[in-house]
Amino acid sequence: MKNLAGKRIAVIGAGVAGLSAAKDLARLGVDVTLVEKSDTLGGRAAGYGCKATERCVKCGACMVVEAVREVEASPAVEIRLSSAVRAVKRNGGHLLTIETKNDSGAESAEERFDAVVLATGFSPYDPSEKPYGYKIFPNVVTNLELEAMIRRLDRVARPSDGEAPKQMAFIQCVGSRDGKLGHLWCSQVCCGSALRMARWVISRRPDTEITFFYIDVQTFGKDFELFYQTVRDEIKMIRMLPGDLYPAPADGIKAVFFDPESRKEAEMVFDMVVLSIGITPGRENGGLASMFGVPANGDGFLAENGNGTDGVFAAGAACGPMSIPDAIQNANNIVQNVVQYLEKG
Amino acid sequence: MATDLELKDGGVADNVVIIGGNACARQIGEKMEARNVPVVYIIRETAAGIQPGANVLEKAGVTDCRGGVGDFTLSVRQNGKRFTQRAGAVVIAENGDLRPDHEAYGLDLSPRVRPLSEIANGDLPDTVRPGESVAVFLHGLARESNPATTRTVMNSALTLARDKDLKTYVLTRNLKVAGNGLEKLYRSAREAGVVFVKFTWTAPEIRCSHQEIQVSFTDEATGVLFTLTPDVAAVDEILAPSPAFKQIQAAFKLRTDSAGFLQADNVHRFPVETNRKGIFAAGPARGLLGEHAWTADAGAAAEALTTVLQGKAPDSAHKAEINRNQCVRCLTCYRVCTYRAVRIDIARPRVIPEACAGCGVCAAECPREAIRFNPYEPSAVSAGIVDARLERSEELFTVAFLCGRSAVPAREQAFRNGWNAPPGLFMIDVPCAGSISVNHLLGAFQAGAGGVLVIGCHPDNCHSENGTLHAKSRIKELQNIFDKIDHPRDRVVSASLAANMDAGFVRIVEEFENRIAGFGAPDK
Ligand SMILES: Cc1cc2nc3c(=O)[nH]c(=O)nc-3n(C[C@H](O)[C@H](O)[C@H](O)COP(=O)(O)OP(=O)(O)OC[C@H]3O[C@@H](n4cnc5c(N)ncnc54)[C@H](O)[C@@H]3O)c2cc1C
Ligand code: SF4
Ligand code: SF4
Ligand code: SF4
Ligand code: SF4
Repeated sequence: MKNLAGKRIAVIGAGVAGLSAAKDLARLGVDVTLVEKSDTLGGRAAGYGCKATERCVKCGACMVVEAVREVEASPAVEIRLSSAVRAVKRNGGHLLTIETKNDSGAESAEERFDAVVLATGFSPYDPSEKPYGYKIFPNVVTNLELEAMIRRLDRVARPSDGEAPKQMAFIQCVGSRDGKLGHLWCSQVCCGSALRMARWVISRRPDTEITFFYIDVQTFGKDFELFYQTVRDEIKMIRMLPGDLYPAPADGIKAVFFDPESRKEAEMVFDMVVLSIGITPGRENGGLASMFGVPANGDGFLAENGNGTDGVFAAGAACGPMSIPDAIQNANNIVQNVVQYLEKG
Repeated sequence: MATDLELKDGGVADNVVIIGGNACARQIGEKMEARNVPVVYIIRETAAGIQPGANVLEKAGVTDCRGGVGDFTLSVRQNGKRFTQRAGAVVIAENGDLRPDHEAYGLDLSPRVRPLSEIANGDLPDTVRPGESVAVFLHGLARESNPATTRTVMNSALTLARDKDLKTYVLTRNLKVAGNGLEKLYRSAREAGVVFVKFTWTAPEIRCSHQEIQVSFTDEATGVLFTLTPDVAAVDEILAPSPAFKQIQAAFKLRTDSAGFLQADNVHRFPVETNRKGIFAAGPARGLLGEHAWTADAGAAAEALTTVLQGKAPDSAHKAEINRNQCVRCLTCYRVCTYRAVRIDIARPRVIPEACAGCGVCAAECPREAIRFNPYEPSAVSAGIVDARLERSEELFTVAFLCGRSAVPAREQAFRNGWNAPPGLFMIDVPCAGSISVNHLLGAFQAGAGGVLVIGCHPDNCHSENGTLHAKSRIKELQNIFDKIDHPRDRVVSASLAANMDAGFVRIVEEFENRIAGFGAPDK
């Protein structure tokens, strides 16, 4: 490789995509500044639990911990937490104004970089506008909240009373594959997330009854066929999304839906409902796109590979729905392009 | 030609060998050549499609691969000749077999019943009449499909409906739209007139005679019975490992997944790593279909190759070393090393330091204790436990061996969350649970431990593949000894964790401490 020592790259966003890009660039001898808005590394997936049952189910969440550890240990990566880019100037390199929050307010500095990788991730869909009583019924939670419970508590607890649920439902495709919202994409990860969590719950509490409302089950993992067979034995699968959720006694939730088998309206009562909310474009994507001159597609995701000819790249879920392994693969691929760009310059 | 890479000191070979000649392999080669890294392709077939001037060994195969990253020696067979080829690093991007799954529907291939790729290439039977004929895609009915195949089905169905004006049906179970743009493609196909029929608890009945194919089904949504007599039916193709995979697997001593693709199903190998440092698997070799996935893998592979050729891939701090005087050449170490870091030189085993990942499994398994694995020698570890016992006044003293990949990060996060370790607990960080021998465990009990806990990674999540399983079998061994001397067997406990299970770590330690407290302090 032509000498990359002394080259400086800014990686914006320290989710699994940004971390992977940062550690790969650092390995190759590039100086990396990792700019992260929040006060921790790891992005969304740092909040996910391990869904292993008798063996690993390949959800990928533990890879994020590994990436965080390598980046923290790398002398070539300078980590800027609670920081964001406020302005970008082009003259020769990329002149970024990076603002860092601290106890006494905020501090800004202008720094020059040879290239930029945008890895700012996604925003989860806000299910408040759906008729599912989110934030109104205490025991309606999102898949992200269930992930966090598994991660932080190592068990599932109903928000209303902390008890383990006995009748749980998962509602898929909330905010994805939805023509009315104009969200004409599958979020790609929520079938896997939900079914792995469901099996994890059953492995811990075999008497839990789980119902899964869905449109199509997406394939995930290499042993999907086997996994799916087990799931169909353990979980009640209903190929229809409920129209509405209503409150039921004892903080329960009543789901009303058109039962596809009897072709009649049906009801079921649950003591906890999980909404599988999807991946939507990062709320700041529009601003980032214009600030950095990176095209965004019609849905609002950044163009994969960003604006590579000008030294601004994009990677990970900022470019569209993708899983953790896909985000790592994508970041590896983008690093290749960054290196090619640096070699030319 | 000199490479542009700054090679690692001591690296002997500065080139890349690519096994395979498909689009994925070619993209990797082009990326490396752009960096002036010499590339050699080894291809089973002819070199069709590879850029002229490339260094290609066609109609050739690899039968053996010795050495470690930076210095591999491949045995090659070409036209009955045998020779060796050096390689700094290797990437395997061999094609799998695309097999049409017509048999799953009781169909034979015929002018009417075609593999999906033929229909996708526009290869239709002469009997097809625009505006009249019916086309049916039998998609993901016999087994669950995948987004790459669904993309081909929907693109082809769209073309047949829109450009050929055929009545086009896609019969499927779960439509796999988890790929970029597929939900939109689904909607465009429907707008163009493609009828999608999804089955949940029923399946279509397919009959075939010389004259016609007949597909009958009940539409689950309406209960209405349909019978189609398509003029052309497309069946999915399934990507399966080709017979060459077995040979490659044996030559390179790779771990495979359950189907036989050349990468173990272990998240720590993603995206392109294998169990051998410096040998990578990309695209179809690891079971991927689709142009987008192949391109992304090609980039990831080029990135990984560049890193290892410069010696910049992370290396383990500790290496195993074999003491020749103690070794009785049983070759246990050779068999247990997942990373294939033990080579045999004239019947003597030797550890290749560049290939050794420092898991310590060989040292724990060697029946002669002939392998040094500093600083984790049982004697040194036991001395540390004795010191720790002396420092602690608690009546109940316990020891935990923690895998550095999973339990140690989990514990560190638990500390950050405010966890306080039980004062009588002494924790020992090891690179892999598989490095713990019966001697390590006995050392802890001899130092006065009332209980010993071993935490490794979940099965299928171990970097060394079998570390946790090795640890479990060691523990069983010790428990059998305990049974004989009437000592409670459950004073030694094994558990598994992932790096993100800080809450799980705290639970496991608490359960362990409570259990050992129940047994009380051991007899002196
Ligand atoms: C409920 C749910 C469950 C999932 N489960 C799984 C699973 O089991 N397995 C799996 O493989 N995938 C799963 N996924 C997908 C997974 O979350 C993504 O693949 C992954 O988070 C993508 O990583 P990323 O780095 O691209 O983005 P993110 O994780 O979103 O990280 C982006 C980072 O950038 C920071 N950032 C954003 N804007 C700025 C800015 N302007 N300046 C500085 N920093 C900024 C953010 O704070 C964040 O740290 C799941 C997703 C959801 C919604
Ligand atoms: S990949 Fe997921 S299930 Fe497997 S060990 Fe890691 S966190 Fe657990
Ligand atoms: S992954 Fe499953 S739940 Fe998520 S949007 Fe796709 S089909 Fe719906
Ligand atoms: S396991 Fe031990 S005794 Fe057996 S060959 Fe290896 S070093 Fe020699
Ligand atoms: S320590 Fe592990 S990687 Fe190294 S030689 Fe022994 S078994 Fe192989």
